[in-house]
Order: sequence, then C-alpha cells, then structure tokens
Amino acid sequence: MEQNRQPSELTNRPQLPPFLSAPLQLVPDLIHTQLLVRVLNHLFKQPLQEGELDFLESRTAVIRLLDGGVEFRFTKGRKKLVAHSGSSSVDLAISGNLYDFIQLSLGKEDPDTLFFQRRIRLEGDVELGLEIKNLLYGLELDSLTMPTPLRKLVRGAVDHYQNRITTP
Amino acid sequence: MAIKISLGPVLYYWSEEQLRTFYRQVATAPVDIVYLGETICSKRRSLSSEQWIEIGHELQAAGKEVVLSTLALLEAESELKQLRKICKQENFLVEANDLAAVNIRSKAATPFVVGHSINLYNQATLALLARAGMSRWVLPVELSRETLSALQQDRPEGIETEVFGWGRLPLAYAARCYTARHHGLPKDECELRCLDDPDGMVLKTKEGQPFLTLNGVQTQSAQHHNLIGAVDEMTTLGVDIVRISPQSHFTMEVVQLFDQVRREVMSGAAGKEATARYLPYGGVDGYWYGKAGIE
Amino acid sequence: MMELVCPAGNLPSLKAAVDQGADAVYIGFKDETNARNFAGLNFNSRNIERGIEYAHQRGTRVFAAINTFPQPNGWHRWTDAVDLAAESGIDAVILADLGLLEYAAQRWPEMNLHLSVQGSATNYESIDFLHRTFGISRAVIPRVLSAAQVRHLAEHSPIPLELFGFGSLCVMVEGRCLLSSYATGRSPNTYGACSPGSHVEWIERPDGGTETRLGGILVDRFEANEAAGYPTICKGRFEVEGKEGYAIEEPTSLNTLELLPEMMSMGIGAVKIEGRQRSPAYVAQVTQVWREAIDRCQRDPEGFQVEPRWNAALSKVAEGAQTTLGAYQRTWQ
Repeated sequence: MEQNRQPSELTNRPQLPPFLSAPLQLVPDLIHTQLLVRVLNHLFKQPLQEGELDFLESRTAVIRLLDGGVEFRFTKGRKKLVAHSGSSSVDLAISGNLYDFIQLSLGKEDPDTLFFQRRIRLEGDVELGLEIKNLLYGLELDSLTMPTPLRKLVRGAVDHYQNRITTP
Repeated sequence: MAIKISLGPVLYYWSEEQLRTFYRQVATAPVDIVYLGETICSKRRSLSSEQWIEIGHELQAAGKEVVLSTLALLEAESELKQLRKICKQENFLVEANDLAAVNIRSKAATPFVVGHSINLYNQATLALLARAGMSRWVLPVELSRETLSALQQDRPEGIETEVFGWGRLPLAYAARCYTARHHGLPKDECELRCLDDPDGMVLKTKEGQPFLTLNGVQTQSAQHHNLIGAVDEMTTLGVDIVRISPQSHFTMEVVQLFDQVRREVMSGAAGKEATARYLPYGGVDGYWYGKAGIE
Repeated sequence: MMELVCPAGNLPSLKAAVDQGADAVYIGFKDETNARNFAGLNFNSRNIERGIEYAHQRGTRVFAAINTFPQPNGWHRWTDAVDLAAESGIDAVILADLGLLEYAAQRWPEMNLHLSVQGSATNYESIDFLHRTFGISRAVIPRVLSAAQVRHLAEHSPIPLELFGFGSLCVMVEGRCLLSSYATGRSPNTYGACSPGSHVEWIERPDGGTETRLGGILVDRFEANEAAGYPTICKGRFEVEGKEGYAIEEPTSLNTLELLPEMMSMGIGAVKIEGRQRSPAYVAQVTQVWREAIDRCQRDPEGFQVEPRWNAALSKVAEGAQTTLGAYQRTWQ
C-alpha cells in the first residue's frame, strides 16, 4: 500500500511574471554572463583558491533560463571562472525557470526535489552536474558576503511571490 | 593437475522430477564437485533436506564430492532452523552463503565453503575467514582477475579457490519477490509461480535489449557469464575449481566443453566459439577483465 | 532512548542536522571508502575536525561511514580512513568489510564499531558472528525485513539495531546488489556509488520527453508531463513478458513515521535518515520532522499519531514524491 500518493503529472510549475523575466532578453547573453561570473568568482573565492573548482577546467557549462530566454556559458580559466563566448559544444546544460534558480540559490529549495519534479533539468555530463550541485550545497550561504539589504530584498520578493502562487 | 569442475546449486525452482532427472545425468558427467540444495527461496521445496541428502549419497557413490549449499538471504526463524539442521549434518561439507552459516559452522569448529554472496574482497577477510574454519572460497562475481591474483598470492595454506565460470550472474537479493510482483501477487501468496520459469524471466529495456533475469527474490543478468576462454588463465593463477551454474537446457553440453578445454583437447578460443550456441542472449566476461559485467 | 541519526554530505548539512536536533550525524570522506562517493560531496581532514567540533559543542555525536569493500590494491586507503576518523575524535565508525572490522577492532580497541547496512545482516546469527568476532555495538539493518521479523531480530540480537526511517528506498540487500556494477563496472561495493554520474546520461528528446541511461542501458523514458527520477536500475521501467512498468520498484521513498511507537516498543536503538547526497535544506526539513515525532512518541507512545503536516513535509522532499512503508509491511513484499 502506498501512502501520500500525489499526482505524478506536473501541473503547478511556478514561473516569474513575464514583466520580471522578460527584460533579461533585452541584454546580450555575454553581458549577463560576465556579470554572473563576476558574482560567482566572488562567491567561490575560497573553493577556487583551494582548487575545488578545477574540475571545470576546459569544460563548459551552460545555465539556461527558459522563461528569461537567455543562457550563460562559462568555464574555468587558470585562476577563476570566465565567460565562454563562441558556439562550441557544451559539456553540461542546466535549464530551468528563473524562479526556481532563485529558490535554489537562496537554499530555499532542495535541488533534488526540483530535479525530481523536472523543474530543473540536467543534460550532458551528469557527473559535472552533480559536482556543481554538491559544490553549491557545500557553500555556507549565511557566511557569504552578499550585502544584507540586497539579500533581504531578494528573500522578501521570493516569499511574496511564493505566497501569491500558493494562496490564490 | 587440471582444474576441477563444479556444478553450482540450481538457482531456479524446478520440480522434483526435473531435479532428479538432472542429477541422474550429473552422476555420469565429468564434474568433480556438486553443490546441492536451495539457496534462493525457502518456499521452494521440491525436495526435503532428507531427499537432498539421499541424492547427495547417490552422487557420492558415483565419485562426486558433494557440498550442501544454503540460503543467501535468511530472514525468518524457520529459515534459521533449517540452516542449523543442514549445518549440523555430518555427511557433507556445507557452503555458507550468509554469515549466519559461517557463525554456526565456526562455533561448532566444522569447515565450510564461503559462497560468492559473502563479500570476501581482500587478504584480511580471506585470512580471517580461514581462521574461522573456511576450507574453500568462491570469488565474488564482480571481482577481476587482478584482484584474484593478489588474493591468491596471500592465500593461507590449504584453502581452495573457486571461480563462477558459467551461467547467468547472480546480481542481487531482495525482500520482494519479483516473480510474484510480475503476476500481481503478494509474496506471501505467490502460488509458487516461479515453478513456470525454469530459467527465470527475462527483463528487457524499453528498447528491447535483454538486460536482467528475474528469479523470485534474486536478480540475475540476462546474459551468460562465460569464462571458458579463461580456463587456462585460471589454472595459471592457481584456481582449483571452476563453477558451472545449472540451466534448464544444455548444462551437460557445456560441462563437456569445459572438460575438453581443461584437458587441453580443445583450446579456450574454440571452447568459446562452441559455447556460443548455448547463449540465448549472448555471453559476457567483463567482470573477469575488470570492466562492467555486461561487457 | 531511541537515537535520531541524520545524514551530512558536507559541513552545512552537518550543521543543519545538529541545529535541528539530531542525536548523531553520519558522514563520509571524499573518496571511495564510503557508499556515497559522489563528486563534490563529503569531508576532508580539515572540515571533519570542524564538523566534529561543531557537533560535540552541542552534544551531538558524529559517525563516519567507511562502508565499502577494499580490494588488495587499495587496502591502505581504507585503513587510513579508519585512522583519520579515530584521530579526529569520531564517536563511531560504520563498517561493512570483515577485514576492515578486524583492523579497526585491533588498532582502535576503544572505538565504537557499527555494522553498516552494507554488511548485509538480516538475521541474528550473522550479527552474533560480528559481535563475538569484532565486538560491534550496533547493526544497521537492510530494508528487507517485515516489522514482525524486525521485532524477532531485535529480541534475539546481542546488540541494539539501527533501522532506516526515511529516505530513498533500496529494495535489495545492500552490500549484495551488483545491478549498477553490472551496467557500469563501477560498483557500490568497491567504488562507493550506485549509478555514478560519470555513467549517467540524461537526454532531452525533441518531443519534450526525457531518456535516462546508465552505462548506455536505457533505464527509463519519460513523457513531457511525467516526473523523472535519477536513473537507478531498480527504479527503472522495463518490459517483462509483455508487461511494461516498474518491474522492481517504483521511485518512492521509505517513510516509517507511523511505525515509531512499534519501533520504540521493540527497543530499537536508533532511526537512520538516508540522504548524504541531498542538500542542507533536505537535511534540515527531515531532521526537524523526525525530531518532533520522536520526542512526541517518547512522551506518549500510546497516544502517538502522525501529524499530516509531517507527512506533507516529508513527501515534498521524497524521491518520486510518494512514500511507502516498504518491506516493514508484508503486503508490499
């Protein structure tokens, strides 16, 4: 006997309202990516120094924001993460909606949960994906130096948005 | 001396008639050692332990060494009771497929064979089990010839080594009976449906690739593990016995081929070619070479 | 007292478990000496010390799982792992290999030895062997016994048992499952990972569906609107004699909250939560629920009832978003 059975069909896939995600499309991908890698290099300062990101060397990962219609390609250079221009093949693609990525990056959602629900999708080198996923888990978010007012603002926005979708 | 050939326990549920016919053929076949008894499911009772022992004596009279094999997955008290009974008899050597049998035999200071479902992966384990009373061990099926070779170098004196050389690979044991599940029956009311599958049920992927075999609570490979081409190598590595796992068809033909290869009447390569016709889903030998079992 | 033992694949998870009231946390090292050897996961010598310090300051014990099977060429990696654990002040090591148990018992006679679920102990005769040979003080039991069988085992076992309470469900006897090894050549027993990422393929199809493969073997194909699982063979869909479906097991998680009073009455020593490969968010959510449930049950076992919100919280993080009592309930078998 199985309990707590839930429908296996995925009906409720939260997305950010288009007015929030749409403006991303107006900026060229490479500029997003350069911004992103700057933030990532900041976040991963210690793991980078300790060589924990060496597995990314000469491998390219792409993060695709499906509702934003953009993608970020990056790899690891000699010392830090760099934006990857050009159209060569990628080793790993992680795709999902902006909302789910924000949930993930705030540690509010368990990545495997999103993965099992197919809200976050992995393609390509799965081991690379697991490595990135586990590296993200291992970051101690509260000790990260995202400016507090900014973090509060983002958390507040996500809470607000979550309330809107769970209490119609 | 040429490597010995053993016949492993029958892993499927065969009727009394099937079993008796089979072991009548074994009596005259070129095998040296025969493992008897039920190792998978305690509900399979075509023969009582007295009848197994009786078959054992017949085979012994025909010049075979007989070993009584025991359950790999022991859960119920009734199963332990049966195990103690087998471990206590003094007619034949016993194969332990779980540490429970190791415990009973070692407490009684009686020798035992360690079967392939007990994880013997290194020298320390080999030495420890030898001290507990092990007289022979069967290489766990996923281990390679490299590991075997290292273990052989440190093998304690008087311990024999056996390698699973032919048959569908035993891959897993579970709480659940997959045969019963396939027929939509609970395990407790399985109606002994596995009696209909003398070689288990083949499981295929959604693109039709044969992959596994369901055999009650046991899962096996769909492909046959076939080391006939490695008999020479085994002899060089000091392996004493090569095991053939019984199938409902062609087991005696396969025994004959292994016998010809060990007597060097036929080359390993020729043996491999000759066995091809007895492999419904092909042969594999990846584990022996340190690769995936299915290769 | 029934102990709550929670998983930690990294420092933030360890802290989450400790903060949410775990009695003990179990961890592994960054190599094949443990059964969750996944890229980017686990502890090195530096953060194991930080983890133990954090836990001990708050009264939580830390166990190290060194629960795979060394082969001759890697033997010292495993004994080094035992030494590192002992020297770091670990409270127990969780072992499966007989040779390694002997090493630990001789080299570190004061250390607590637990038998890992990988040690495949399903009956009290085998536990008795391990207890009298190595002095193990606890055994983790594979998820294959019914509740009645567990009760019988607990009555006859010379040492306390640890049972799985929640998490992904292995339906096979652990330590004796070669399905992933057969397809990939990397064995849970020796390499420490079931369905290692290096052999997994996740292929999006043009029609929106997804295919998952392990070592090239098609494990499942999902339609665009179906929830997908990580490709472990036992949870794949296959065809057997004309019937297609989950021939071995549905992608579900084990959840035994409702058995808590029964487990307490059996004198079970500890409940284990699976999931060292999961995130700190998972560890925090699951630990919180189980802490509350165990405390409630300890205060009033007769009046104990499972809160719907507990099950809701657990189902949300469960693989397949379904839970089952697994083998504890005979009809499941």
